[in-house]
Amino acid sequence: MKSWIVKRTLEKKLILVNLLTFSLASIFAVILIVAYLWTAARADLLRNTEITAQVIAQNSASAFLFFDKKAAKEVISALNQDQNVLSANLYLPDRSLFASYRREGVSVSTWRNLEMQIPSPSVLMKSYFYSRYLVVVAPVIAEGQTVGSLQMYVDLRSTYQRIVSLVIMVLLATLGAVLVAGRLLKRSLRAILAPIDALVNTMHDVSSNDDYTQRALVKTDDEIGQLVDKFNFMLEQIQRRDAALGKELVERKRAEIQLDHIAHYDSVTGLPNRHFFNRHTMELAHLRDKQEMSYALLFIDLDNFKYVNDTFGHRVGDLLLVAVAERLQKTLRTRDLVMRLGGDEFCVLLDDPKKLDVAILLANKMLAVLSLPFHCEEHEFNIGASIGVAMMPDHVSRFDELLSCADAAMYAAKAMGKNTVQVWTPEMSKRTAQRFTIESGLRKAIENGELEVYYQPIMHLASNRIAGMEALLRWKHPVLGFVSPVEFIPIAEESQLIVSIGEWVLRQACTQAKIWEQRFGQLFIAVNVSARQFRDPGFADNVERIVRETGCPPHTLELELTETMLMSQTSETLIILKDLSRRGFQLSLDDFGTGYSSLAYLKRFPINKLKIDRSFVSDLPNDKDDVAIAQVIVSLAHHMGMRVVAEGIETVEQADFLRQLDCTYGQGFLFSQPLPEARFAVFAENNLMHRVANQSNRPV
Amino acid sequence: MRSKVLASLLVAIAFLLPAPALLAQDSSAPSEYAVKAAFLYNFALYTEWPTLPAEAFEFCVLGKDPFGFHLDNIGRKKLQGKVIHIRRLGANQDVKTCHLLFIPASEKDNYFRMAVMLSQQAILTVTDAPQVDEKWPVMMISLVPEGERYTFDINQAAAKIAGLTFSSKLLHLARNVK
Repeated sequence: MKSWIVKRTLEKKLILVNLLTFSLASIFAVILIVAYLWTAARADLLRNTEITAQVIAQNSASAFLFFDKKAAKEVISALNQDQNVLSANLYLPDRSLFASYRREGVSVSTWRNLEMQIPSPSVLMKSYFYSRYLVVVAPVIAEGQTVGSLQMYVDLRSTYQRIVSLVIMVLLATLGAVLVAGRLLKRSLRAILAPIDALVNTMHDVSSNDDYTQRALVKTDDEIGQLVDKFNFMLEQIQRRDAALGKELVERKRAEIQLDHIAHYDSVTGLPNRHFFNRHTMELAHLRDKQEMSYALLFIDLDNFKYVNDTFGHRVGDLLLVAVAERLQKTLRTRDLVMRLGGDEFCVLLDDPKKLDVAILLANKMLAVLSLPFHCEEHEFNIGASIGVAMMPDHVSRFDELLSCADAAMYAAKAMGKNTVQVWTPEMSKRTAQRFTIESGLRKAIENGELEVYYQPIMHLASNRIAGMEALLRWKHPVLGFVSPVEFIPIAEESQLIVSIGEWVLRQACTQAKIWEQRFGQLFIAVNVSARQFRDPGFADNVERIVRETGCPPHTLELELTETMLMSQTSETLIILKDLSRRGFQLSLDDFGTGYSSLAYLKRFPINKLKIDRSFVSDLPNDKDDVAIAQVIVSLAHHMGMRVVAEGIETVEQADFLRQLDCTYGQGFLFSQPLPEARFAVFAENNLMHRVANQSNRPV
Repeated sequence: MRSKVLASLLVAIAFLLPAPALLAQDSSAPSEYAVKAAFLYNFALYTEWPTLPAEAFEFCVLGKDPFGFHLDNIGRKKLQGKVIHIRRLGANQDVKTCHLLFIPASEKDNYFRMAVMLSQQAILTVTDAPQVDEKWPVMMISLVPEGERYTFDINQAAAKIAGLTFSSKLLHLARNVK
């Protein structure tokens, strides 16, 4: 249909242009022909009339000579053979009329007009054209003498009629020619335009169906043929490109899907991840505008996963995560969604639980499921979980708030002693907010001078004399006041802050130890090392550099490590420990007996000192179990060439008992609480000055 | 419409012009012999002689000349490029050198006598005798008055014998041709 129009218009245009040109040429030709006819007809008439006049003049010459009017009349009357001759007069040289002829039927008025002209005799023939007739004046000559003159009036009407009819014929012929030319043009144009039409049709098909396999099948050797060839070539290229593009698109789509999957799914468990959660909740948020739905989010954090991961390696840790994921999924209803947010954090989005009770019920069910032992390879693990529950719209109105509330509730559950379910309350978020305050405050604490190192004296039990001290970090927040290390150290551990803070503490402690060495003689200084610090590749170098810079003797520096730090990645741990030991630092094992103590490791590690945890000390000397444990640890240490420090000594009885056990050192409120630098100096001075005088074990 | 306006304008102009020559009177009718002299010349115009004269055409008048100066006027004209000599002949004068011989009616007898000499001579003979009979042998053209003007009769047989040929125009103008 469209191509048809295109063709029609093209055809029309071409015909129009051609016919216009042709018509112009024809009009020009007609004008030329008419002009020629006009002049030719007039010239013809003139010549014929002149010849006639000549003949009449010659024939009448004798009549003139013999004054024979009758003969003259006869001669002149011969003109009635010529219908165009209106009248003719013969005049004598003296202008008097000799003979005349008038055509019959010529009206009087015409006649009167004609009779006006009387020519003067002349030797030459003269002709005058008027609008409606021609006048020829011819001399009548006999033997070189002008004997009279002939005046002839010739009607131009028939000449005009002839010209008009000729013009009409020419016009008709031209018109016919134009019509025939139009017909021929149309036919030949159709032949020329047919390939274009075919081409347009093909183009139309191609564009409407997006089918680039089609080809225009037109064979002409003119420009259209070339156009068709180029068009086909173009189609082929498009087809090829299309195919290539299609292939690339498929590849890209596949890659995109893959990337999308990688981005939105956890590679370990195959569960959706945090990005998925964000995207999903965004979609749900749109949906929720239309229908009122409730959601509950259970934020699950595994309690002892970190231990498993550290102790048995990531591989086992991953297997455990997969097992956890499986159990969670089995517990869920079909429309609920479980996601792994990262590390040992999972969350479950409950779809329209309607009531908080339902969510709590499900949370407890999950807790129960996760409390059952896990079997990974040949190991058996008992890991619990802390679950935080938040409801929407009961608690919050937005999904991001839902997540942070569930997170806060989970933290609360952890704080409550783990392996519990907690439902969100506003205070929990306040606490979480406080955590953020702490974390952000901690970043600026060193610069602002808010941190301070306190020192708790460690006594040689036998002599009751001060032997060393443990460096303990204190932080006075400008708003919150004193913040407990129990509160901020885990937060520092979670971020990298612990490394720089630890280094700062070490430097302070070493500096102080150097100062006090000069004043009080050699005292060892115990500094706590966090797991993160310990695993830092530059740790040993840093410690050595600090020791060298401060001038503190390496053997007086005691690095306190925890059991859990040593139990994972043992080969690596051994290398670090040996490195530290070789550099001359003392290594002590903090809180000994509380974790998964392994005597085999104890044997392999170059540990110089054990610290008996305060939990074993507090019930001494009455609790038989604690007595036994204390005895074993002290005995073990002695036999392995290690010294022992008892922590948390609060009573004289405890001190006496441990002294009896031959425990080397004691530390606790009985002797002193952790003291700021100045007060420690006073304590140390008193202790050392009065050591001889004050033989009793009385604390100061 | 336009041509009509133009035509009427022309008519108006035409009437304002000076009186046309058409209205002039035929004032002086030519005298009898002036016409006759002119006729002689005209006859010669339409006549073909067997041979052209070397120098001049000899126009002769037998006996008493009735033309006077009219004939001399003719003698000043030229005929076929030749001059015309006017000769007036006495009774016994040689007539053979003449190309045209006019015999007035009064010279009837003289002519009859010398007619024998004219036989088979290329001489155009003309007379104005009213009655041409056997007394006028070898007479080729005779002038005949007809009302105010003159006409003529032609004896073509006589001319043929003499070796003269008349133009058809002349024959056409003649009243009678024998």
